[in-house]
Amino acid sequence: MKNKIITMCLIILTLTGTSCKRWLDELPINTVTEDQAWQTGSDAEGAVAAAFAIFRRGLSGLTKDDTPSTTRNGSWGDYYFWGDARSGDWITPNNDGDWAAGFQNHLIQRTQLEPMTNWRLFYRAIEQCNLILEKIPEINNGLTQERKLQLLAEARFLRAMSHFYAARIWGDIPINLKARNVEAIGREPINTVMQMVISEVDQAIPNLPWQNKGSRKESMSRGTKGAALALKAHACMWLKDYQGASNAIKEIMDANIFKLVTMDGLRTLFDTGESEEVIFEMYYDVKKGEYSDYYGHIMTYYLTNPYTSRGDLSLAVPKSKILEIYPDYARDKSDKRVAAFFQSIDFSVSSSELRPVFPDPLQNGERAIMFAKFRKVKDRTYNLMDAPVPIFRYADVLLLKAEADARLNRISDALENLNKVRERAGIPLFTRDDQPVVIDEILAERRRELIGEFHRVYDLVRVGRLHEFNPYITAQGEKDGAGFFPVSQEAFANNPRMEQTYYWQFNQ
Amino acid sequence: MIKLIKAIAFIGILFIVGCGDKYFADGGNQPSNQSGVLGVSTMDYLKSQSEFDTLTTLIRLTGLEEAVNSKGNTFLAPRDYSIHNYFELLFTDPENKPATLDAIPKEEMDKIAQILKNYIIPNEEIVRSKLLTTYSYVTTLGGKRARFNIVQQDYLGNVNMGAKSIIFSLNTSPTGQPERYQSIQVATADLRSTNGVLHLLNSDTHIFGFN
Repeated sequence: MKNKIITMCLIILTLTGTSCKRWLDELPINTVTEDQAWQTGSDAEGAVAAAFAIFRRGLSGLTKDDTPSTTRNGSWGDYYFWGDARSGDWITPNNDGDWAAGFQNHLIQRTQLEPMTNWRLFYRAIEQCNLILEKIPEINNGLTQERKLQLLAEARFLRAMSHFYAARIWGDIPINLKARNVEAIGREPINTVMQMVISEVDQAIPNLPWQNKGSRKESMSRGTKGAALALKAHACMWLKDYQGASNAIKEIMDANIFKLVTMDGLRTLFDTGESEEVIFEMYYDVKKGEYSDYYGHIMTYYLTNPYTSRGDLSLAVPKSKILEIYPDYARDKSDKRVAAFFQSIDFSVSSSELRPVFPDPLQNGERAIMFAKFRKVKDRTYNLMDAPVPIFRYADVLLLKAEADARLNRISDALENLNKVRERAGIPLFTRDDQPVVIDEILAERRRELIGEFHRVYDLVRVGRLHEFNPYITAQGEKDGAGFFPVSQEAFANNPRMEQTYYWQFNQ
Repeated sequence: MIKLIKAIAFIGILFIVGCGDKYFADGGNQPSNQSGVLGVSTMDYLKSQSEFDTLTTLIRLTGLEEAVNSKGNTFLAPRDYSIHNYFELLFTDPENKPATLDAIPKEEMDKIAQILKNYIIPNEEIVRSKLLTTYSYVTTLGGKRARFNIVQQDYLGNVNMGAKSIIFSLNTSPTGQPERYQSIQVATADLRSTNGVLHLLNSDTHIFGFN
């Protein structure tokens, strides 16, 4: 008996003594630490690609992964809320309270909308770029000098782009050009931000290519000369430097890389982004597992059966507004963009079947016309929606140049570019030559051409006319900053220098 | 001992009065001939509901009360929100908007009367059980062709197992031109008044006058 106990004890002792290696103390081999991360060329490539990926996520909005406090699953297509929702052109046919609050500029009190006031992902992209600009110069292993300069230029471009995009949304924003900040940074006036954007872009342009490797959409979703020049032109417009904007766009036009596609070509432009009109976009690719889920792509909210399995419209442009925006269509149905951008669906057919599309785009009633600029083949699945997020395209910069030229009183140059866009749409060429009328017409043409492409609100805020189109915003309110988004609570944490936008200090 | 008896008695009383089991009883479905029976005329029912007070005022002002209340007809009632949106489109300038419904000019009132007639199906009781997923056609009091069919939703991915609803469509193109139907979903169907059948229309997407 005693022997047995002793043997048992011995066996247990040997087992415990030999069987456990101390693997818990060992570092898993997939952990990347700071000093391992920046060594080879592929590390550099990965870091730049990651920066663009963060920027894309910044556009589509914070998700549950980013802020546990939000109730939102997946992204909400915040670019739509920032750039289109408050333009006064949109309604929510199923009376969704969150959409309506967005239209009416009630951006704080609804908890669902709070995450949209958070600029964290833009600054995450900026920080990634800062880190790249600090670390890549030291990498020599597997990285040619030429490629290194190009990657650095891309990071510089994206850093400027993120600042620019955030400045259009929030107005005055912090400028962050250091990888690590110990001190709190406050908001800078929007003009300072735009000047910084222009000087950064000027540094980046010499080392950027006109086109990157890969298909058109892959090429145009990264830094290129075209994208940088378009960014510079937009920033110049905010600074009222019309000559600068006009010159930058002249360079884009002279490069002969981009062109206005045909009306039929617009389908490829919006569906896949593989188009010669694209200057800068952020693409998704189903084949790489990138697509929307139920809440993913803003574009799923425009569509119903037969494109997704939604039964009702959630976002739409009312019929009366369409006729107001496209007066040529209202007069003689000549504007081809109405048929290209809008559709009427036969809602009397069972939702279990693919509902037919009426030949007349405006056949349905006031509140039942589908915004179908971004659509896909009819298959009624919510997901697998991988249309790109548009940022700049050729028609956009042509019209921007037209506006710059018109403001410089070079009316004939302005009309030439304006009429290129009008000609494609099949509407009569514009011939009047008094400056204010031309400027107004160009703004209206931008509204017609770029509807739903996240430009309208920024255009109106830039010229200070948002209050004319959105009845919930007053002229005084717009002067106080109602056209910009409020700053999220999170930005105030541990930052004594942060200030809320003047308008939002008094308006909830 | 007395305390114990009191406690037992108290608990006993609790047992007896505490739990009614009436709420376990399920009355089942109401018999189909009683479900949705209003017991009043179509007009009286609409008047009793606040979401139809604009509608009833318009019916009164256009003198269509009798047509709405006539025996054996069907009335499809647009909600006030639909009419509100109609006026938003009609009077875009807030300066020129009539202050009351009585102040609407005569020619607009005639148009409203014509529109209202298209919501009345004379001498025909349209009920869900008689409709199919295929189209059936009738003529409205306004002389337009109206179309009815049933649409069934999916339920949890099961095709055609979800809620059934009536779709009411009206031919909006002028006589002689190709027909163009605009459709509305019926939100509440098969209400039976003392004179006929009443359906309440979904107001989210429908605007009075099929705009």
